Amino acid sequence: MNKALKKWLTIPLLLLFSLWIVLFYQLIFVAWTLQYSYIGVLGVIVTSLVFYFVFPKKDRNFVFRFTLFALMTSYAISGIFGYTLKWIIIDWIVFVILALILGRILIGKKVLTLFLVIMVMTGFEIWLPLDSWSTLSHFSVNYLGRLASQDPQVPSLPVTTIPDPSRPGQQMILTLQAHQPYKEEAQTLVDGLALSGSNQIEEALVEIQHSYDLVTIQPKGHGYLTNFASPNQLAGIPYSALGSSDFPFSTSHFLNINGDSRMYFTLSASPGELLSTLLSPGQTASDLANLTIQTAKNEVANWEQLTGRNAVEHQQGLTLNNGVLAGTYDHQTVHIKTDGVAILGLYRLLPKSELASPTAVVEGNNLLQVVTLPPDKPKIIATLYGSYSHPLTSDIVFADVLGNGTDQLLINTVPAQIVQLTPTGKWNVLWYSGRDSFRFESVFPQSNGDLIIANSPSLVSTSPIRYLGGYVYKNRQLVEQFRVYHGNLVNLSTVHVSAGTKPQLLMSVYDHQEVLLLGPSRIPLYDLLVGGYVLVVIIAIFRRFGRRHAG
Amino acid sequence: MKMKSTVLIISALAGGTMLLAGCGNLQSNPALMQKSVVQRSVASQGLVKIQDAINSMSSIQNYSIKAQIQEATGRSVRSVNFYGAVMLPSSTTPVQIQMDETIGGNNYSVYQNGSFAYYEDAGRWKPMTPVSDLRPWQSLSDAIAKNPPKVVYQLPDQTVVSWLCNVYQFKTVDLGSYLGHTALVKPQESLYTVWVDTTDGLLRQIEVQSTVGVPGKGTNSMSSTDLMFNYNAPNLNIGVPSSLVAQIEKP
Repeated sequence: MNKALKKWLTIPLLLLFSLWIVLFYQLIFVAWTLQYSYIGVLGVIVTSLVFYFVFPKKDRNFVFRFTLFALMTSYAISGIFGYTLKWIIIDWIVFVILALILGRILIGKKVLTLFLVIMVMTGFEIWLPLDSWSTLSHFSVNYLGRLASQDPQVPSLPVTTIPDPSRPGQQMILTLQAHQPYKEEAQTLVDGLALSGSNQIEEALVEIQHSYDLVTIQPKGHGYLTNFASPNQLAGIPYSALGSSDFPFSTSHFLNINGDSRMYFTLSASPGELLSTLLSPGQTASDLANLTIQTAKNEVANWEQLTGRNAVEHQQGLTLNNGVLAGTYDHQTVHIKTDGVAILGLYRLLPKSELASPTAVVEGNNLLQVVTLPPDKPKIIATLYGSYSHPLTSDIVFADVLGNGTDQLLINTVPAQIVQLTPTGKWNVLWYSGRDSFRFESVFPQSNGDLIIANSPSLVSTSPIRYLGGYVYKNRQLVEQFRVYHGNLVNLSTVHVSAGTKPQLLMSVYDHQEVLLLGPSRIPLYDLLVGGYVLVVIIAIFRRFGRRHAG
Repeated sequence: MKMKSTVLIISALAGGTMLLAGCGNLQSNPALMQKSVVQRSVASQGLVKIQDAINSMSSIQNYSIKAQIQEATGRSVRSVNFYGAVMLPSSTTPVQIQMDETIGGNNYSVYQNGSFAYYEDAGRWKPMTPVSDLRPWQSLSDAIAKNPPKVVYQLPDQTVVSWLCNVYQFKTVDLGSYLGHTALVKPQESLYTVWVDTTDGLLRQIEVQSTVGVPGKGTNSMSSTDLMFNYNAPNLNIGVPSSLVAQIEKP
């Protein structure tokens, strides 16, 4: 190493450089590779070669080795894993010693500098694990809850929100957290439940190790506060929002333990029963339908027992019972027979010039019906059917993607489609997905056409893996607004938890038992990273010319 | 020379950036949605072909399966996976089953020999109701006989694993549920797809697709796909798992 280089790259600059390298790699190189496959890899190679060769010959060796050291460090830290803090710290210390020895041999830089690089990287990865850094390209991470248990009973944590009574207009997060058994818990349970005359003592004891606490998460000061959810808080949400994690193969059960809510799962049918069903193709569908309806009934009963309220769904004064949509709307009685089993909601599917009120949308067996509401006489004005090959489930996002004041249906059939209701009662398909794995997730309302939040596969590769993306609809195509190359994001919803009027995105991470709350980005990180690249290239060019003149 | 390479570097960068920027728009493409309808044709002899395949299955005494049951409600798609072997009951041998199952991401095993039936859950074996009345092909032909499909479609031939198969598709109302619950639903109409081996005329795969409306939840779609192989394996050995023996031996 020469003196000129040392003059340029002091320790803080090196630290900044290492952080920039890792961010650039995670947000730009990984993104290119995932989005554009081999073309992206080509881009990565070109960009890397430019970066390498733009430096004068004598710098290259150091730049190359230091870059590798930073990247390897970032990945090594993300791989440190342990269930107890003690083991994580021991792992980390062993890693630091090895990394410093390796770094000393590889780079020859002072051990202090290398140690500081490791410290900075560790700090950032404690703040946000490396596999979530990709979200920073368009969002800031407001909350990341690692609520994992060692023995996960659910593939992903269900997550929803309820209004926060202490902050009007804002919400708090409601989710599951793996229950951490504590000493003497069995005794406490027996005492508490026996006193209340509960008949669930044995169940509660069996499930201590495998249960989940229902918790609320709300912003407090600069952080977030996790509390046990009370049955009262849960009464306002539909039973399926939290209680259907492995529906219908597992049944969720609830316990009220001294005012805290606990949840556990049991199999709805034994492995033998499921096998019987499979091996009798002449009755498979009826068997499964029976199991499904039975599980739903049991879960409703369990939820009602916990919350002490009738779980029949109300949608602005309307209920649906045995297909009859009944109740009052606009002070007038509604009573009409439909083919529905569930109310999806009240949406304005036709413009005000056609209908004075929004319509009720109900869903039945592989169909969806639109019912007019007072002052118009309630009647079914349109029915949309699914088929067995492309079933129509309630996996639908209602959004005004045209920006004309009416809602269109973003339907997650396989493949997904955008469907619009016309005044004649006919359905007009605006857009079909060309990929099976594309999914609509949520929307951010915008006056000139809502921003569609979707999980969408890569462009070139045929892999079904989906990544987060933002799109607006224009002329039979979805125009890309942003991409976040984070896979496995499920249960997405648009919420208002801690960013005032700005929409936030709440989700859970499949297979990882994490809950993630993303808010609007505070800094244009993507532009800064590209700017950093340009800056480094410019500096390198100056060093070339500086060297030539000097030489 | 240096100047020249710098210009080259900058232009390569600019070109690369332009190439990668802003081509992520998704065009509307109806091809996938229409595929299932466009590719099928009415097969006038389809039902006979299916019956023949079911009849020729009577020679099968044991076989292996790789199967999946999948249900989708609202946003969630959940599945149960099966992998194992079945020895159908005969006059000399009782039914024997060895099956690994994954339910909700957790692993289970099933072992059955006649009425001796257990399943393993998290390392512990528990007794279960034996799988009885095991007549997989009869069940399919009974359903067809009870409610003969109005029309049978033929889909383009497909290769399943290594067998080239004729693919037939039909709708029928099935036999109703015998899962041991009181029947909560009427016998379900389902879409059946069967794969018939072009060389030996045996069934290779059966798919059943249907939907049911769940109060408060909406449409629940159900499908089961059962791939069958290793027909009449000569040295199939479904033995008692040693962990089951160990558990039962202990007081």
